[in-house]
Amino acid sequence: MTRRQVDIAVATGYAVVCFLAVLAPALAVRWSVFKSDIEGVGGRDIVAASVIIGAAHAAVAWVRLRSEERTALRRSHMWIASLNALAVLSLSSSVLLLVVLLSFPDTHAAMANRGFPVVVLWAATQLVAVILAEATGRVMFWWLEPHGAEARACKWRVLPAIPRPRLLNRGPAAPADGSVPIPEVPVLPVPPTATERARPGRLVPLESRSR
Amino acid sequence: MTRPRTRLNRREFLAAGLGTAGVVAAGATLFGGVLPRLAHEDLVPGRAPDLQLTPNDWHVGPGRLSFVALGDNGSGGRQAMAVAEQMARTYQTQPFGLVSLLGDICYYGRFADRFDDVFRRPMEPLIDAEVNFELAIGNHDAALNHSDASIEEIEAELELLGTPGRYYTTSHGPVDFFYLDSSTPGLFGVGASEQLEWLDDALASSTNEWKVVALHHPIYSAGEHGSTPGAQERLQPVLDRRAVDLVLSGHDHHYERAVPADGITYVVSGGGCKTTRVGRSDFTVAAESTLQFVHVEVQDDRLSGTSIRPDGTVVDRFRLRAREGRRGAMA
Repeated sequence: MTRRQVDIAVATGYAVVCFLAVLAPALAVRWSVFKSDIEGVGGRDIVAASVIIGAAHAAVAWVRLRSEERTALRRSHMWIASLNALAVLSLSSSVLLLVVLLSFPDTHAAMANRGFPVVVLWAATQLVAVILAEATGRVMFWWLEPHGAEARACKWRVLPAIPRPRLLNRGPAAPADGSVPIPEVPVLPVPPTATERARPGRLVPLESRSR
Repeated sequence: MTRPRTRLNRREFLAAGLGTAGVVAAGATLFGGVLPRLAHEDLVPGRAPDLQLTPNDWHVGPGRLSFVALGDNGSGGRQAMAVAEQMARTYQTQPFGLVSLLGDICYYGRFADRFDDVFRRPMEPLIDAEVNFELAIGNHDAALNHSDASIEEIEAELELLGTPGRYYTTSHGPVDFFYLDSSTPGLFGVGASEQLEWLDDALASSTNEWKVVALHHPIYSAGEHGSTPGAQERLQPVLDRRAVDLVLSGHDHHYERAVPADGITYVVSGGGCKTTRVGRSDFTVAAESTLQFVHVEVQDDRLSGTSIRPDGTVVDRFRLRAREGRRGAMA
Protein backbone atom coordinates (compact mmCIF):
# COMPACT_ATOMS: atom_id res chain seq x y z
CA MET A 1 0.00 0.00 0.00
CA THR A 2 1.16 3.49 -0.70
CA ARG A 3 1.51 6.04 2.03
CA ARG A 4 -1.58 7.86 0.84
CA GLN A 5 -3.63 4.68 1.00
CA VAL A 6 -2.40 4.03 4.52
CA ASP A 7 -3.35 7.56 5.54
CA ILE A 8 -6.82 7.18 4.11
CA ALA A 9 -7.30 3.77 5.73
CA VAL A 10 -6.21 4.98 9.14
CA ALA A 11 -8.41 8.07 8.95
CA THR A 12 -11.34 5.88 7.92
CA GLY A 13 -10.69 3.53 10.84
CA TYR A 14 -10.68 6.46 13.24
CA ALA A 15 -13.94 7.74 11.78
CA VAL A 16 -15.54 4.32 12.26
CA VAL A 17 -14.46 4.26 15.91
CA CYS A 18 -16.02 7.70 16.43
CA PHE A 19 -19.22 6.48 14.82
CA LEU A 20 -19.37 3.48 17.14
CA ALA A 21 -18.70 5.65 20.19
CA VAL A 22 -21.77 7.75 19.36
CA LEU A 23 -23.92 4.70 18.56
CA ALA A 24 -22.96 2.66 21.64
CA PRO A 25 -25.43 4.23 24.13
CA ALA A 26 -28.39 3.70 21.80
CA LEU A 27 -27.41 0.08 21.25
CA ALA A 28 -27.06 -0.38 25.01
CA VAL A 29 -30.58 0.94 25.57
CA ARG A 30 -31.93 -1.36 22.88
CA TRP A 31 -29.92 -4.32 24.12
CA SER A 32 -32.33 -5.46 26.79
CA VAL A 33 -35.21 -5.29 24.34
CA PHE A 34 -33.22 -7.11 21.69
CA LYS A 35 -32.13 -9.74 24.17
CA SER A 36 -35.73 -10.33 25.23
CA ASP A 37 -36.88 -10.44 21.62
CA ILE A 38 -39.74 -8.08 22.39
CA GLU A 39 -41.40 -5.87 19.86
CA GLY A 40 -43.46 -2.82 20.60
CA VAL A 41 -41.18 -1.37 23.26
CA GLY A 42 -39.61 1.17 20.94
CA GLY A 43 -36.09 2.49 20.82
CA ARG A 44 -35.55 2.46 17.08
CA ASP A 45 -35.93 6.24 16.98
CA ILE A 46 -33.01 6.83 19.32
CA VAL A 47 -30.89 4.34 17.38
CA ALA A 48 -31.73 6.20 14.17
CA ALA A 49 -30.86 9.54 15.77
CA SER A 50 -27.53 8.16 16.97
CA VAL A 51 -26.77 6.71 13.53
CA ILE A 52 -27.35 10.10 11.87
CA ILE A 53 -25.30 12.06 14.39
CA GLY A 54 -22.58 9.42 14.47
CA ALA A 55 -22.28 9.30 10.70
CA ALA A 56 -22.10 13.08 10.44
CA HIS A 57 -19.45 13.25 13.12
CA ALA A 58 -17.46 10.44 11.48
CA ALA A 59 -17.44 12.38 8.22
CA VAL A 60 -16.34 15.58 9.94
CA ALA A 61 -13.59 13.72 11.82
CA TRP A 62 -12.37 12.09 8.61
CA VAL A 63 -12.17 15.44 6.79
CA ARG A 64 -10.40 17.01 9.77
CA LEU A 65 -7.80 14.26 9.86
CA ARG A 66 -7.12 14.44 6.13
CA SER A 67 -6.75 18.19 6.36
CA GLU A 68 -4.42 17.98 9.35
CA GLU A 69 -2.29 15.41 7.56
CA ARG A 70 -1.42 18.04 4.97
CA THR A 71 -0.88 20.96 7.31
CA ALA A 72 0.66 19.34 10.37
CA LEU A 73 4.30 20.05 11.02
CA ARG A 74 4.47 16.76 12.93
CA ARG A 75 2.15 13.85 12.37
CA SER A 76 2.23 13.01 16.06
CA HIS A 77 0.38 16.27 16.79
CA MET A 78 -2.50 15.11 14.69
CA TRP A 79 -2.81 11.74 16.41
CA ILE A 80 -2.36 13.09 19.92
CA ALA A 81 -5.15 15.58 19.28
CA SER A 82 -7.36 12.85 17.79
CA LEU A 83 -6.73 10.59 20.78
CA ASN A 84 -7.88 13.31 23.14
CA ALA A 85 -10.93 13.99 20.98
CA LEU A 86 -11.82 10.28 21.04
CA ALA A 87 -11.54 10.15 24.83
CA VAL A 88 -13.85 13.13 25.20
CA LEU A 89 -16.31 11.69 22.68
CA SER A 90 -16.43 8.24 24.30
CA LEU A 91 -17.06 9.64 27.75
CA SER A 92 -19.42 12.45 26.90
CA SER A 93 -21.64 10.53 24.47
CA SER A 94 -22.58 8.06 27.23
CA VAL A 95 -21.97 9.75 30.57
CA LEU A 96 -23.72 12.93 29.52
CA LEU A 97 -26.79 10.92 28.52
CA LEU A 98 -26.81 9.05 31.79
CA VAL A 99 -26.50 12.26 33.80
CA VAL A 100 -29.20 14.07 31.83
CA LEU A 101 -31.67 11.18 32.02
CA LEU A 102 -31.05 10.41 35.69
CA SER A 103 -30.95 13.98 36.90
CA PHE A 104 -34.32 15.15 35.65
CA PRO A 105 -36.63 12.12 35.38
CA ASP A 106 -39.72 14.10 36.39
CA THR A 107 -39.15 16.79 33.82
CA HIS A 108 -38.48 14.31 31.06
CA ALA A 109 -41.51 12.18 31.91
CA ALA A 110 -43.75 15.24 31.92
CA MET A 111 -42.35 16.32 28.59
CA ALA A 112 -42.85 12.87 27.10
CA ASN A 113 -46.45 12.75 28.22
CA ARG A 114 -47.14 16.14 26.73
CA GLY A 115 -46.06 14.74 23.39
CA PHE A 116 -42.55 16.16 23.28
CA PRO A 117 -40.43 13.77 21.23
CA VAL A 118 -37.89 12.28 23.58
CA VAL A 119 -35.64 11.53 20.64
CA VAL A 120 -34.95 15.28 20.39
CA LEU A 121 -33.56 15.27 23.93
CA TRP A 122 -31.42 12.25 23.08
CA ALA A 123 -30.14 13.78 19.85
CA ALA A 124 -29.39 17.14 21.48
CA THR A 125 -27.34 15.50 24.22
CA GLN A 126 -25.32 13.52 21.69
CA LEU A 127 -24.82 16.63 19.57
CA VAL A 128 -23.31 18.41 22.58
CA ALA A 129 -20.97 15.45 23.07
CA VAL A 130 -19.88 15.55 19.43
CA ILE A 131 -19.26 19.30 19.55
CA LEU A 132 -17.17 18.91 22.70
CA ALA A 133 -15.10 16.20 21.05
CA GLU A 134 -14.49 18.20 17.87
CA ALA A 135 -13.57 21.29 19.83
CA THR A 136 -11.13 19.26 21.93
CA GLY A 137 -9.47 17.81 18.84
CA ARG A 138 -9.07 21.12 17.09
CA VAL A 139 -7.92 23.09 20.11
CA MET A 140 -5.44 20.37 21.07
CA PHE A 141 -4.04 20.30 17.56
CA TRP A 142 -3.66 24.08 17.53
CA TRP A 143 -2.00 23.98 20.93
CA LEU A 144 0.54 21.37 19.87
CA GLU A 145 1.48 22.89 16.54
CA PRO A 146 4.26 25.54 16.62
CA HIS A 147 3.20 28.96 15.42
CA GLY A 148 4.84 32.07 13.97
CA ALA A 149 8.62 32.17 13.73
CA GLU A 150 9.02 28.75 15.19
CA ALA A 151 6.80 27.28 12.47
CA ARG A 152 8.69 29.15 9.76
CA ALA A 153 12.01 27.89 11.12
CA CYS A 154 10.85 24.35 11.19
CA LYS A 155 12.84 22.29 8.74
CA TRP A 156 11.55 18.84 9.41
CA ARG A 157 8.25 18.95 7.59
CA VAL A 158 7.13 15.38 7.10
CA LEU A 159 5.11 15.96 3.99
CA PRO A 160 5.80 18.44 1.25
CA ALA A 161 4.07 21.72 1.77
CA ILE A 162 0.95 22.44 -0.17
CA PRO A 163 2.20 23.51 -3.60
CA ARG A 164 1.94 27.25 -4.05
CA PRO A 165 0.11 28.60 -7.09
CA ARG A 166 2.30 29.30 -10.13
CA LEU A 167 3.36 32.87 -10.82
CA LEU A 168 1.96 34.60 -13.93
CA ASN A 169 5.45 35.73 -15.07
CA ARG A 170 7.10 32.56 -16.31
CA GLY A 171 10.39 34.12 -17.44
CA PRO A 172 11.63 35.28 -20.94
CA ALA A 173 9.43 34.52 -23.96
CA ALA A 174 10.48 31.86 -26.49
CA PRO A 175 12.29 33.10 -29.66
CA ALA A 176 10.04 33.86 -32.66
CA ASP A 177 12.08 31.67 -35.08
CA GLY A 178 11.35 28.56 -33.02
CA SER A 179 14.93 27.94 -31.97
CA VAL A 180 15.57 26.64 -28.51
CA PRO A 181 17.40 29.23 -26.41
CA ILE A 182 20.61 28.06 -24.86
CA PRO A 183 20.30 28.60 -21.13
CA GLU A 184 23.12 30.39 -19.45
CA VAL A 185 25.13 28.22 -17.20
CA PRO A 186 26.08 30.09 -14.06
CA VAL A 187 29.77 30.12 -13.28
CA LEU A 188 30.36 28.80 -9.85
CA PRO A 189 33.26 30.12 -7.83
CA VAL A 190 36.20 27.76 -7.70
CA PRO A 191 37.09 26.75 -4.16
CA PRO A 192 40.61 27.79 -3.12
CA THR A 193 43.29 25.13 -3.28
CA ALA A 194 45.18 24.01 -0.25
CA THR A 195 48.15 26.18 -1.20
CA GLU A 196 45.93 29.21 -1.51
CA ARG A 197 44.23 28.49 1.76
CA ALA A 198 47.70 28.33 3.36
CA ARG A 199 48.46 31.81 2.08
CA PRO A 200 45.50 33.89 3.14
CA GLY A 201 45.20 37.40 1.90
CA ARG A 202 46.53 36.79 -1.59
CA LEU A 203 43.86 37.17 -4.16
CA VAL A 204 44.21 35.23 -7.40
CA PRO A 205 42.25 36.39 -10.43
CA LEU A 206 39.69 33.94 -11.81
CA GLU A 207 41.35 33.70 -15.26
CA SER A 208 44.73 32.53 -13.95
CA ARG A 209 43.35 29.69 -11.85
CA SER A 210 43.79 26.20 -13.14
CA ARG A 211 40.79 23.90 -13.01
CA MET B 1 19.06 19.39 6.21
CA THR B 2 18.31 19.12 9.96
CA ARG B 3 17.14 15.66 11.10
CA PRO B 4 13.50 15.43 12.25
CA ARG B 5 13.01 15.60 16.00
CA THR B 6 11.93 12.17 17.27
CA ARG B 7 11.49 12.80 20.96
CA LEU B 8 8.35 14.40 22.34
CA ASN B 9 8.65 17.75 23.93
CA ARG B 10 6.97 18.53 27.21
CA ARG B 11 3.74 19.74 25.66
CA GLU B 12 3.43 16.73 23.39
CA PHE B 13 4.22 14.34 26.23
CA LEU B 14 1.56 15.91 28.42
CA ALA B 15 -1.07 15.82 25.70
CA ALA B 16 -0.25 12.24 24.74
CA GLY B 17 -0.43 11.13 28.35
CA LEU B 18 -3.72 12.90 28.83
CA GLY B 19 -5.19 11.32 25.72
CA THR B 20 -4.02 7.84 26.63
CA ALA B 21 -5.30 8.10 30.17
CA GLY B 22 -8.56 9.51 28.87
CA VAL B 23 -9.11 6.64 26.46
CA VAL B 24 -8.29 4.04 29.11
CA ALA B 25 -10.58 5.73 31.63
CA ALA B 26 -13.32 6.02 29.03
CA GLY B 27 -13.10 2.34 28.23
CA ALA B 28 -13.18 1.30 31.86
CA THR B 29 -16.04 3.66 32.66
CA LEU B 30 -18.13 2.72 29.66
CA PHE B 31 -17.80 -1.04 29.79
CA GLY B 32 -17.57 -1.20 33.56
CA GLY B 33 -20.58 0.86 34.48
CA VAL B 34 -22.15 3.31 32.09
CA LEU B 35 -23.18 1.08 29.19
CA PRO B 36 -24.38 -1.78 31.44
CA ARG B 37 -26.41 0.75 33.39
CA LEU B 38 -27.96 2.18 30.23
CA ALA B 39 -28.78 -1.37 29.14
CA HIS B 40 -30.18 -2.41 32.50
CA GLU B 41 -32.21 0.64 33.48
CA ASP B 42 -35.35 2.00 31.83
CA LEU B 43 -34.27 5.62 31.62
CA VAL B 44 -35.79 6.81 28.36
CA PRO B 45 -39.17 8.31 29.30
CA GLY B 46 -42.22 6.86 27.62
CA ARG B 47 -45.71 7.96 26.78
CA ALA B 48 -48.56 6.66 28.86
CA PRO B 49 -50.99 4.20 27.26
CA ASP B 50 -54.00 5.84 25.72
CA LEU B 51 -56.78 3.25 25.96
CA GLN B 52 -60.37 3.51 27.07
CA LEU B 53 -61.45 0.55 29.17
CA THR B 54 -64.90 -0.46 30.30
CA PRO B 55 -65.11 0.06 34.06
CA ASN B 56 -65.91 -2.86 36.33
CA ASP B 57 -65.87 -5.28 33.44
CA TRP B 58 -64.51 -8.18 35.44
CA HIS B 59 -66.32 -10.95 37.25
CA VAL B 60 -65.99 -11.53 40.93
CA GLY B 61 -68.12 -14.17 42.48
CA PRO B 62 -67.96 -16.87 45.13
CA GLY B 63 -65.77 -19.02 42.92
CA ARG B 64 -64.28 -16.61 40.40
CA LEU B 65 -61.54 -13.98 40.31
CA SER B 66 -59.08 -12.52 37.81
CA PHE B 67 -56.07 -10.53 38.84
CA VAL B 68 -52.63 -9.47 37.62
CA ALA B 69 -49.30 -9.71 39.45
CA LEU B 70 -46.67 -7.14 38.48
CA GLY B 71 -43.37 -6.37 40.12
CA ASP B 72 -40.59 -3.80 39.84
CA ASN B 73 -42.35 -1.49 37.41
CA GLY B 74 -41.45 1.88 38.92
CA SER B 75 -39.41 3.58 36.19
CA GLY B 76 -41.92 5.60 34.20
CA GLY B 77 -39.86 4.74 31.15
CA ARG B 78 -40.70 3.28 27.79
CA GLN B 79 -40.45 -0.30 28.92
CA ALA B 80 -42.70 0.25 31.92
CA MET B 81 -45.22 1.99 29.67
CA ALA B 82 -45.11 -0.93 27.22
CA VAL B 83 -45.90 -3.39 30.00
CA ALA B 84 -48.69 -1.15 31.32
CA GLU B 85 -50.18 -0.83 27.84
CA GLN B 86 -50.22 -4.60 27.40
CA MET B 87 -51.93 -4.93 30.79
CA ALA B 88 -54.62 -2.55 29.55
CA ARG B 89 -54.98 -4.53 26.31
CA THR B 90 -55.25 -7.75 28.29
CA TYR B 91 -58.02 -6.15 30.33
CA GLN B 92 -59.96 -5.61 27.10
CA THR B 93 -60.04 -9.34 26.35
CA GLN B 94 -59.67 -10.85 29.83
CA PRO B 95 -60.83 -8.24 32.36
CA PHE B 96 -59.38 -8.35 35.83
CA GLY B 97 -60.36 -6.44 38.93
CA LEU B 98 -57.13 -6.45 40.89
CA VAL B 99 -53.47 -5.66 40.36
CA SER B 100 -51.04 -7.00 42.95
CA LEU B 101 -47.94 -4.83 42.89
CA LEU B 102 -44.94 -6.81 44.10
CA GLY B 103 -42.77 -3.93 45.21
CA ASP B 104 -40.23 -1.48 43.78
CA ILE B 105 -42.85 0.76 42.31
CA CYS B 106 -40.62 3.83 42.17
CA TYR B 107 -37.10 4.24 40.82
CA TYR B 108 -34.95 7.32 40.19
CA GLY B 109 -36.53 9.50 42.84
CA ARG B 110 -39.02 9.71 45.66
CA PHE B 111 -42.45 8.19 45.24
CA ALA B 112 -44.21 11.35 46.39
CA ASP B 113 -42.44 13.30 43.63
CA ARG B 114 -42.81 10.66 40.93
CA PHE B 115 -46.27 9.36 41.75
CA ASP B 116 -47.71 10.60 38.47
CA ASP B 117 -44.82 9.32 36.35
CA VAL B 118 -44.49 5.84 37.82
CA PHE B 119 -48.04 5.00 38.82
CA ARG B 120 -50.86 7.28 37.78
CA ARG B 121 -49.95 7.73 34.11
CA PRO B 122 -48.98 4.13 33.29
CA MET B 123 -52.00 2.73 35.11
CA GLU B 124 -54.45 5.46 34.14
CA PRO B 125 -56.60 3.24 31.87
CA LEU B 126 -56.88 0.66 34.66
CA ILE B 127 -57.43 3.30 37.34
CA ASP B 128 -60.25 4.78 35.26
CA ALA B 129 -61.68 1.25 34.92
CA GLU B 130 -61.76 1.16 38.75
CA VAL B 131 -59.34 -1.72 39.06
CA ASN B 132 -58.04 -2.18 42.62
CA PHE B 133 -54.35 -1.94 43.37
CA GLU B 134 -52.70 -3.70 46.30
CA LEU B 135 -49.07 -3.39 47.23
CA ALA B 136 -46.41 -5.61 48.75
CA ILE B 137 -43.68 -3.31 50.03
CA GLY B 138 -40.41 -3.57 48.16
CA ASN B 139 -36.99 -2.18 48.67
CA HIS B 140 -35.25 -1.06 45.51
CA ASP B 141 -32.12 -0.35 47.48
CA ALA B 142 -31.72 -4.13 47.46
CA ALA B 143 -30.84 -4.11 51.13
CA LEU B 144 -32.93 -5.21 54.06
CA ASN B 145 -32.09 -2.07 55.97
CA HIS B 146 -34.22 0.48 57.65
CA SER B 147 -33.20 4.06 57.06
CA ASP B 148 -35.15 7.22 57.67
CA ALA B 149 -35.40 7.86 53.96
CA SER B 150 -36.59 4.31 53.39
CA ILE B 151 -39.28 4.64 56.05
CA GLU B 152 -40.49 7.91 54.57
CA GLU B 153 -40.63 6.32 51.16
CA ILE B 154 -42.68 3.39 52.41
CA GLU B 155 -45.06 5.69 54.29
CA ALA B 156 -45.59 7.71 51.12
CA GLU B 157 -46.37 4.57 49.14
CA LEU B 158 -48.88 3.38 51.71
CA GLU B 159 -50.62 6.73 51.85
CA LEU B 160 -50.79 7.44 48.13
CA LEU B 161 -51.97 3.95 47.24
CA GLY B 162 -54.34 3.59 50.14
CA THR B 163 -52.56 0.53 51.45
CA PRO B 164 -53.85 -0.45 54.90
CA GLY B 165 -50.46 -1.37 56.34
CA ARG B 166 -47.00 -2.71 55.77
CA TYR B 167 -48.37 -6.24 55.94
CA TYR B 168 -52.02 -7.07 55.66
CA THR B 169 -54.53 -9.49 54.22
CA THR B 170 -57.38 -8.99 51.76
CA SER B 171 -60.05 -11.25 50.36
CA HIS B 172 -61.42 -11.22 46.82
CA GLY B 173 -63.83 -13.93 45.75
CA PRO B 174 -62.33 -17.36 46.38
CA VAL B 175 -58.82 -15.99 47.08
CA ASP B 176 -57.27 -14.69 50.28
CA PHE B 177 -54.23 -12.51 49.69
CA PHE B 178 -51.46 -12.04 52.26
CA TYR B 179 -49.13 -9.13 51.56
CA LEU B 180 -45.80 -9.11 53.37
CA ASP B 181 -43.21 -6.42 53.90
CA SER B 182 -39.99 -8.25 53.12
CA SER B 183 -37.98 -5.08 53.61
CA THR B 184 -38.40 -5.40 57.37
CA PRO B 185 -35.26 -6.67 59.05
CA GLY B 186 -35.90 -9.90 60.87
CA LEU B 187 -38.50 -11.26 58.46
CA PHE B 188 -35.93 -13.80 57.29
CA GLY B 189 -33.43 -13.44 60.11
CA VAL B 190 -32.77 -15.40 63.23
CA GLY B 191 -35.52 -15.09 65.81
CA ALA B 192 -39.25 -15.00 65.20
CA SER B 193 -40.53 -11.65 63.96
CA GLU B 194 -43.85 -10.06 64.65
CA GLN B 195 -44.71 -10.27 60.97
CA LEU B 196 -44.11 -14.03 60.76
CA GLU B 197 -46.32 -14.60 63.74
CA TRP B 198 -49.03 -12.45 62.23
CA LEU B 199 -48.76 -14.41 58.97
CA ASP B 200 -49.04 -17.71 60.75
CA ASP B 201 -52.18 -16.58 62.56
CA ALA B 202 -53.72 -15.01 59.46
CA LEU B 203 -53.14 -18.13 57.37
CA ALA B 204 -54.52 -20.32 60.10
CA SER B 205 -57.74 -18.31 60.28
CA SER B 206 -58.17 -18.18 56.47
CA THR B 207 -61.04 -20.32 55.26
CA ASN B 208 -61.06 -19.40 51.61
CA GLU B 209 -60.34 -21.91 48.86
CA TRP B 210 -57.12 -20.27 47.66
CA LYS B 211 -54.27 -18.72 49.62
CA VAL B 212 -51.88 -16.45 47.78
CA VAL B 213 -48.90 -14.81 49.47
CA ALA B 214 -47.29 -11.76 47.84
CA LEU B 215 -43.95 -10.33 48.86
CA HIS B 216 -41.11 -8.52 47.16
CA HIS B 217 -38.07 -10.70 47.88
CA PRO B 218 -38.23 -14.15 46.28
CA ILE B 219 -37.87 -17.35 48.20
CA TYR B 220 -36.69 -19.24 45.14
CA SER B 221 -34.89 -17.41 42.34
CA ALA B 222 -32.18 -18.25 39.84
CA GLY B 223 -31.74 -14.63 38.92
CA GLU B 224 -29.23 -11.92 39.70
CA HIS B 225 -30.20 -11.46 43.34
CA GLY B 226 -31.07 -15.11 43.78
CA SER B 227 -33.05 -16.78 46.52
CA THR B 228 -33.33 -14.47 49.52
CA PRO B 229 -31.06 -15.63 52.36
CA GLY B 230 -33.04 -16.98 55.27
CA ALA B 231 -36.35 -17.11 53.41
CA GLN B 232 -36.43 -20.88 52.97
CA GLU B 233 -35.47 -21.41 56.60
CA ARG B 234 -37.79 -18.87 58.20
CA LEU B 235 -40.75 -18.26 55.91
CA GLN B 236 -41.19 -21.48 53.98
CA PRO B 237 -42.07 -23.62 57.04
CA VAL B 238 -44.93 -21.23 57.81
CA LEU B 239 -46.19 -21.44 54.24
CA ASP B 240 -45.92 -25.23 54.23
CA ARG B 241 -47.69 -25.57 57.55
CA ARG B 242 -50.63 -23.42 56.45
CA ALA B 243 -50.95 -24.96 52.94
CA VAL B 244 -50.44 -21.85 50.83
CA ASP B 245 -51.11 -22.37 47.12
CA LEU B 246 -49.17 -19.65 45.33
CA VAL B 247 -46.33 -17.32 46.30
CA LEU B 248 -45.74 -14.27 44.10
CA SER B 249 -42.59 -12.17 44.33
CA GLY B 250 -40.48 -9.70 42.39
CA HIS B 251 -37.07 -8.14 43.09
CA ASP B 252 -35.29 -10.11 40.36
CA HIS B 253 -36.21 -8.63 37.01
CA HIS B 254 -37.27 -11.72 35.15
CA TYR B 255 -39.99 -14.34 35.09
CA GLU B 256 -39.46 -17.65 36.82
CA ARG B 257 -41.61 -20.50 38.05
CA ALA B 258 -40.17 -23.02 40.45
CA VAL B 259 -40.89 -26.69 40.92
CA PRO B 260 -43.77 -26.94 43.40
CA ALA B 261 -42.46 -27.54 46.87
CA ASP B 262 -44.92 -29.15 49.28
CA GLY B 263 -47.75 -28.13 47.00
CA ILE B 264 -46.68 -24.46 46.82
CA THR B 265 -45.90 -22.86 43.48
CA TYR B 266 -43.35 -20.06 43.63
CA VAL B 267 -43.45 -17.47 40.87
CA VAL B 268 -41.10 -14.52 40.31
CA SER B 269 -42.74 -11.75 38.28
CA GLY B 270 -40.22 -8.93 38.41
CA GLY B 271 -40.08 -7.87 34.76
CA GLY B 272 -42.19 -4.76 35.15
CA CYS B 273 -39.75 -2.38 33.49
CA LYS B 274 -36.24 -3.84 33.51
CA THR B 275 -34.65 -7.16 32.75
CA THR B 276 -31.75 -8.92 34.39
CA ARG B 277 -30.25 -12.23 33.50
CA VAL B 278 -31.61 -15.45 34.88
CA GLY B 279 -30.05 -18.88 34.94
CA ARG B 280 -31.42 -22.30 35.66
CA SER B 281 -31.40 -24.00 39.02
CA ASP B 282 -32.59 -27.38 40.20
CA PHE B 283 -35.83 -25.78 41.29
CA THR B 284 -36.53 -23.92 38.01
CA VAL B 285 -39.33 -25.10 35.75
CA ALA B 286 -39.55 -22.06 33.49
CA ALA B 287 -37.46 -18.92 33.40
CA GLU B 288 -36.88 -16.05 31.02
CA SER B 289 -35.23 -12.67 31.21
CA THR B 290 -38.02 -10.56 29.75
CA LEU B 291 -40.48 -7.78 30.42
CA GLN B 292 -43.73 -9.37 31.56
CA PHE B 293 -46.61 -9.57 34.02
CA VAL B 294 -48.66 -12.53 35.20
CA HIS B 295 -52.39 -12.75 34.57
CA VAL B 296 -54.18 -15.17 36.91
CA GLU B 297 -57.68 -16.51 36.54
CA VAL B 298 -59.33 -18.41 39.34
CA GLN B 299 -62.48 -20.37 38.74
CA ASP B 300 -63.71 -22.65 41.48
CA ASP B 301 -60.97 -25.23 42.11
CA ARG B 302 -58.82 -24.25 39.11
CA LEU B 303 -56.24 -21.52 38.94
CA SER B 304 -54.48 -20.70 35.69
CA GLY B 305 -51.61 -18.29 35.35
CA THR B 306 -50.16 -16.78 32.19
CA SER B 307 -47.02 -14.72 31.94
CA ILE B 308 -47.42 -12.19 29.13
CA ARG B 309 -44.84 -10.05 27.36
CA PRO B 310 -45.49 -6.44 26.22
CA ASP B 311 -46.13 -7.64 22.68
CA GLY B 312 -48.85 -10.02 23.88
CA THR B 313 -46.88 -13.23 23.46
CA VAL B 314 -46.88 -15.79 26.24
CA VAL B 315 -43.82 -16.63 28.31
CA ASP B 316 -45.29 -19.41 30.42
CA ARG B 317 -48.57 -20.98 31.46
CA PHE B 318 -49.34 -22.92 34.57
CA ARG B 319 -52.42 -24.43 36.17
CA LEU B 320 -53.08 -25.31 39.77
CA ARG B 321 -55.84 -27.20 41.43
CA ALA B 322 -57.19 -26.31 44.80
CA ARG B 323 -55.80 -28.16 47.78
CA GLU B 324 -58.92 -30.11 48.48
CA GLY B 325 -58.79 -33.34 46.61
CA ARG B 326 -55.37 -33.16 45.04
CA ARG B 327 -51.98 -31.75 45.98
CA GLY B 328 -49.31 -30.42 43.59
CA ALA B 329 -49.31 -28.27 40.48
CA MET B 330 -50.30 -29.21 36.94
CA ALA B 331 -48.46 -27.20 34.27
